[in-house]
Amino acid sequence: MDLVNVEKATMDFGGVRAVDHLDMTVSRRQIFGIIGPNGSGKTTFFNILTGIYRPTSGRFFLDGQDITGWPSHRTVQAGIARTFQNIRLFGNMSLVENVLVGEHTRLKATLSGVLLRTRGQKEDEARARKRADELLAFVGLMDKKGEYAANLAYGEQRRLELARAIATEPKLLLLDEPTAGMNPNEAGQIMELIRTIRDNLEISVVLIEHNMQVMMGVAERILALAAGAKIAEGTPQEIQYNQKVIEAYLGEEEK
Amino acid sequence: MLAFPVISPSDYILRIVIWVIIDIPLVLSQNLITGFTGLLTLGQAAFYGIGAYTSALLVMRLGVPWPVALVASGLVACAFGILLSIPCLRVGSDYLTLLTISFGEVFYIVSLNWMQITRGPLGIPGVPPPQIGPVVFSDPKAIYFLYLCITSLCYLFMHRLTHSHIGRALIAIRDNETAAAAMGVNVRNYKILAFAFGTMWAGISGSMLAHFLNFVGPQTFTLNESILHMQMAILGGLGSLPGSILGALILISLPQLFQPIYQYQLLINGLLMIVLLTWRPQGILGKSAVAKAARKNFLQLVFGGWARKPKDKKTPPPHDPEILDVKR
Repeated sequence: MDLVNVEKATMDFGGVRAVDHLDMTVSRRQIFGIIGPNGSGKTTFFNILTGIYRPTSGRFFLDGQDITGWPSHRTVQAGIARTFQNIRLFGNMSLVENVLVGEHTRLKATLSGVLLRTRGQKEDEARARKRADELLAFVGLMDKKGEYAANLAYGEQRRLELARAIATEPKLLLLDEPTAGMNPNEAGQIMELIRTIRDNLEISVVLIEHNMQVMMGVAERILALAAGAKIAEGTPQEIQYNQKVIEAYLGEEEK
Repeated sequence: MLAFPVISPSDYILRIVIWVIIDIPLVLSQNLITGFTGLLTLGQAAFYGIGAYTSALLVMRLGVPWPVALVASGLVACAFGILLSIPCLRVGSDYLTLLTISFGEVFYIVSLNWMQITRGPLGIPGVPPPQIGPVVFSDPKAIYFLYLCITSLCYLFMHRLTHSHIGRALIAIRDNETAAAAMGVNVRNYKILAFAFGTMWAGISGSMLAHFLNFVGPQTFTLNESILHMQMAILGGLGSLPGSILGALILISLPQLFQPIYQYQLLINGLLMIVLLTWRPQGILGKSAVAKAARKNFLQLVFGGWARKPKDKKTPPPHDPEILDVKR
């Protein structure tokens, strides 16, 4: 069974159709890429998949479970984690706390457990902190764990967002332009990181990316969007030479 | 702290300290709602008042024992808080502030005019002092210890709440609501939780006030009172629990120290806030990322490479795949 099944996803904003009857299937342990010119509906698609917007129509299945129209916090529980195109960290919290918020849904302590500080709550908290340290070490930010997230450099902020997303223990990780604004060296490191995440955690990754070098290097299957609709889907090689994709990016050749 | 009533030079000063102790839960609750969760509300005085009237009326009209009335005042205020949170969370941030101000005004007008229950502007005199079984806490020294216990309990409550995954969820909502939801935080429920506990402790604070002053009247629960307690929370530092104690201490004792120029209190408060927000916007004990970065830059500027030179650490490789052997 495939991990993700999207059937005819559609999102209208007033008269504008941002996502148009989009079908998509992601297999387990697959790195799946979505490309398309600016405004082609990539981020909107992520937003309806994660419940930030309610889709106009269409159905979404994760691991066989119907998650259509679920609000954001429930899609996380179901197993979808994401990062944001315009980084959204908790600026006035330390790095560790940022990752700990990612573990929020995995903490079992109840309100009374918190107020009475029961042993179960303390153990839960200690476990969460240990895991947060592991994740920070994984993305290479362990030496800054006490700093405020807002005071990190740009590339480090992106890595922290990754750690925070993995902390939710997802089955599916959505990355919205993880290498935007990075130099080729940093972008390469992120690529490596994405592969390691997939291999070690055995999850599927869907990424939106404008950096074609990254996309062609890391994605196993690519979907191309234009004006909200699918124009092509296939392996990186197929997409690279697809006439419709070239037209969408560069325009038609004059005859 | 325990010896304070004994060494206190006068009854007058002891009464001021008790006043501070009564106000601390109110400031802490404002801090929970505004400092931690980021909801700018200005209606705490109404919940303070609801607690005060509830407690006084229960004891005087229905003969309810004081401990029960104390808890009831918290629960009644909490119920109103949850009710108010429903419309509040449907509107954006600025309108939320306006809604809470209007709620405060509605409460003030009702308490001023509902003669049968509140006796309007006459207020309710003769509220009995706290009493547990046969023990009556009529002496200020006894009240000091009793209220210190309640306020300590409140502090412990707030400390544990904010230093848990619940507290982190609240701060996450303050810092970035969308990201908090994307981490699995149920934003609406957590905001209601902040409202519920924030108003509950405000109600308990009100009950303490009623039985200490032996009087409840509408003039104590105006918008000015809400603003004053907001000032205490801001002065001490939003998001800092010890800051709230400091804020209450400063803004209650200062006017007493400057008794001769009492009529200029609002002016002085205003100046204090301007000075504070210019030089230390995060409050006296508050922390913020911007402030920390600014302090670091300032030290670097003043002391250059002499102080705080970052040690020449070997930067670790970006990641070590070996470390993440934590499979599901």
